[in-house]
Parts: sequence; C-alpha cells; structure tokens
Amino acid sequence: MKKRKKEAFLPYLFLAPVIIFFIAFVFWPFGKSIYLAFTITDRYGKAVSWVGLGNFKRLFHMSNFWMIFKNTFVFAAIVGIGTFSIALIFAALCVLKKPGSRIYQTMYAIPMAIASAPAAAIGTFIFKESGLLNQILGTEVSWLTNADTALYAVAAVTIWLRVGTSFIFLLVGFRAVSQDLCEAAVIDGAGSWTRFWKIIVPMASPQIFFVVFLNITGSFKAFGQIKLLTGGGPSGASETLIYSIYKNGILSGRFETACAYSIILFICIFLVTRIQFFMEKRLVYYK
Amino acid sequence: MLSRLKRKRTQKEILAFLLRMVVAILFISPLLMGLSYAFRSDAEIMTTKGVTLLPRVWTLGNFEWVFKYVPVVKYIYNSVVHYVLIMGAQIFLCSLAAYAFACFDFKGKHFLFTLILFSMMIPGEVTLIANYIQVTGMGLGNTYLGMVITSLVSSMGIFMLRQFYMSLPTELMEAATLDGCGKVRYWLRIALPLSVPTIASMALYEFVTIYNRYMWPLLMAKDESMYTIQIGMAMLKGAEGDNLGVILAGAMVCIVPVVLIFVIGQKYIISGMVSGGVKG
Repeated sequence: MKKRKKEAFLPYLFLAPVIIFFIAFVFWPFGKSIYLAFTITDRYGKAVSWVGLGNFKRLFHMSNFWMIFKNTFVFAAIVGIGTFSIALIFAALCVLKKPGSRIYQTMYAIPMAIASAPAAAIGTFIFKESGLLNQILGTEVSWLTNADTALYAVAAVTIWLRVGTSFIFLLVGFRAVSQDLCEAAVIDGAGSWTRFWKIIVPMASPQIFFVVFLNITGSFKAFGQIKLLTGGGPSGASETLIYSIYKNGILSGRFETACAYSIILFICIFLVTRIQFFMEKRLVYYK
Repeated sequence: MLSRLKRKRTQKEILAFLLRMVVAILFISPLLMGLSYAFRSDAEIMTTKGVTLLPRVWTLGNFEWVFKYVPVVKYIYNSVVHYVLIMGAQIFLCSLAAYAFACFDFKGKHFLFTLILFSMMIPGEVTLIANYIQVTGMGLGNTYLGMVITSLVSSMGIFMLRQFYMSLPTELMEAATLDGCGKVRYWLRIALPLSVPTIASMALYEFVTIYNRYMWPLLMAKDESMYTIQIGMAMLKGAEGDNLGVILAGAMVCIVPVVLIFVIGQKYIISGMVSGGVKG
C-alpha cells in the first residue's frame, strides 16, 4: 500500500521538467509577447507605459506594413505552389520502385538537408549581377537588389530547400495506395496517366493536403535566406513578417513593435491552420 | 519475338531511368555548380566568360584560405556541442514524459497532455523576441546554455516516444512487476533500451534540424568564439563579399557533413520524419 502511494507521485515527477519547460519557454513568453505588444518598452525589453492598441494602430497606418503583409502572402503563395508542383512531379516520377530509383530519389531529397545560410551563399552565386543565371541568360539583371525580382529570387531558393520534405511526404502517400486497386485499374484499361490522376492522387489526398499547408506555414518562418540574400531589401521589397520581427526587435531594439509583429504572425499562422482543419474535414478522402 | 519485346522494354526502362537522372541532376545543379566553382581560383572566376562546368585548373586554394583564416574547427565543435546538449536533454526529458503518459494513470493526465498539444500551436518564431529578452535577461546571452535552452524539449519527441511505449505489450510490464521490478527500473532497464531504434531515428532527423539552426544561435552568439558553423560561414559572406570562391568553399564545408549524414541515414531520417510529422 505504501509503495503504491509512493508511485502515485512518479508521473508528476517525470512530467515536471517538461511542463516547466513549456511554461517557461512557450506559454510565458507567448503571454509576454501579447502584453508587450500593448506597451512601449525600454531597450532592455521592459514595459515602460501601456498604450493599448497604439502599436497596432501605428502599424496599420504605415504603408510599409501593408507591403510587408502583402509580401508575406505573395511569398507564401509562390513557395506553396512552387514547392508543391515540383514535389508532385518528383513523386510521380518515383511512384514505382525500379532498379536505381534510390539514386535519383536521394538526389531529389538532398537540398532539404542544406541550411539556409549556405543555401544563401549558393543563391548569391546564382542571382548576383555577375552570377550564374545572368551568364546563362545573357542578361544583366541584379535579381537580388531589384525591387521587382528580389522576393522571387528568395522564393526560388526557399522552394529549392523545401521540395525534398514535400517530395518525401507525397511519395510515402503515393506508395501507400494499395497495389490491388492499381492492378484492378490496369485490368479495366486505365493507362498510367489516368491511374495517377484518378486513383493515386485522390487516395493520397490527406498527404497532399498536409504538404500544401506545411509549405504555407513553413514559408512564414523562412528567415535565414531572406536575411542573407537581400536583408529584406531593396527598401522592404522582400521583407516578410518574420524579418520585420528580427529587424525591429534585434536590429533596432524596438521590442514592442517586434512583439506586435509577432502577434500578427501568430494570427496569420493560426488562421491558416484553422482553414486547414476546416477544409480537411470537407475535402479530404480518408479510408 | 519475345526477346525483341523484352529488349524494347529494357530500352524503355533505360530511357526512363536517364530521364529521371537528368531531372535530378538539373535539380541539384546549383549545389554541383557551387562545388565546381569552389575549386576555382579567383583569377579564373573573374576571367572566364560564360559558364563552364568544370574548373580549368583545380585548386584547393579557397578551402585552404577558409581553414587558415576562419576557425572552422572551433565552429564545428560549437555546432556539435550544441547538438549533443539539445539531443541529450531531449532524449532524457521526452522519454520521461512519454513514459508517464503511456504507462501511468493519474489525475490531470488529460489536462497536461492537452497543454502539450497547445504548446505546438505556438511556433518558436512568435515567442522569439520575448524569449530573447528573457534569456539575455537571465545573463545567458553568449553562452552554450542560452543557445540551447529554448530547444531542450520537443513535443514531437514526446509524441513519438509515447506512441512507442504504448505499443509495448502490457504483459511485459506485468511480468516485470511480478518479478519485483518497480516502475522506474522497468523504464530504465526495459522500456528505454527497447526504444533505442525510435530514439536513433529521432536523433538522426534532429541532427539535420539542429545543425542547420540559424536564427536563435544568431541572436545568442555575440563573440566569434561562440559561433556555430552556420553563423560563422554566413559571416564569411559579409566579410568576403566579392570573393566568390572563398564563400562557396565555406558553404561547402558547411553542407558536406550534413549531406553525407543525410544520404547515409536517410532511411531512419525519413521514417522519423514521416512518423512524427515535421516541424516547419
């Protein structure tokens, strides 16, 4: 009896460090971000005065803010569509296991192991004025410092880094589609094109759905490549919410503005995941 | 007749293979070209017009420069310390929590589990500034502890290990209890050792994530002696703006170890990734 009583404490003891961690480094800072977004802070991040919605009002009246907001979603759309399309093609090419398929499969996935910092070095090498792309095209566009192209160049690097993960999720989904079903379709005279679009894709819709939203929320968090390729420039043309958080908070020490941006980023991510859950229920086919 | 059909089929297969290889090579061509340019001298890069696939003269000059003027070994050491601290803590803390959730019944279990689910809805990017203020305020800026402290627990790790512990047959625990094995001993001697494959795939997958971490270490590391390889090599770009060969050599030093580990361990990395979902 005594022993049982002693064991009743065990699960709490085992969970204590984890719970303390989540409170200290997730929930508490989250609450603090919300609080600070309604205040003015000093350079140590201490709240000096309460301004209510003042920070948000100030942001919403800046044209710069709306550009950043638009950039974030344009970037998400390009990265989302680009990554998904390429990953879909790669997964389609790999559906059937063939001799040697491991080689190209690995190659399609490799960039996902590369970090944003070295990828930015490669990106600079390709997109700068004397870079590879201009030499191939015979043009003289400074892709990274031109306001019309900077965001797209950063998106291209981001897509390259993200394709591998999406490719693997799609491939696993496609390969899980039952072989019986495919064989039955072959007997019914379905070619590989019909088989792919009419059977494999609908059956793998949960994975497809997951990948699309993974890339949208993932693009919201893309930081290293933006900082190192364009620094958000020229004059904010490639600045997204996450970069604004860094710029205001770390570079300029304006913690309250950075926190307001954090809350806006949170709301964006939260809404996108809500939409994901909502649509998943209606559109996705589950076995 | 049959052999002709068969030959035609093999030809088609070879063509299909070549097509997929060409696509693959095009896809990783930025990496391959970067590698090729890292082996060229500055003079060659400046004077060559157009794009050539291979260097005219192969040189290790850029790599020698990087290793001579940049404390690469120190950076890699920092990255490894970083990884060992985070992974060690994650394995220990996540298994403990997962074991509590999987093998105990207690008051508040549902609540605590929901709490962890909720924590996943708050991305680290959102709490970045508040954590920065907090951690530097604790005087942990520019320390190893400060660089790892916000990553010591992963909710994904808890879920993966909980899943594993729940899959263990209950007879195993009953038999152990009959033999007088307490709950702590059961975890240490039986459950934990059995979970080594799950932990290994988690550790490999996390290696790629942790080695590639950029934003938080960037905020924490003030002195050059605290830089991880990612921060150090990114600084190279700022300092050596126009010296393309050197920058690419630095990038390759940074990429090669993690790509090798990815290629060798991909089976485990992929299974860890797919079973656990993925953190953006």
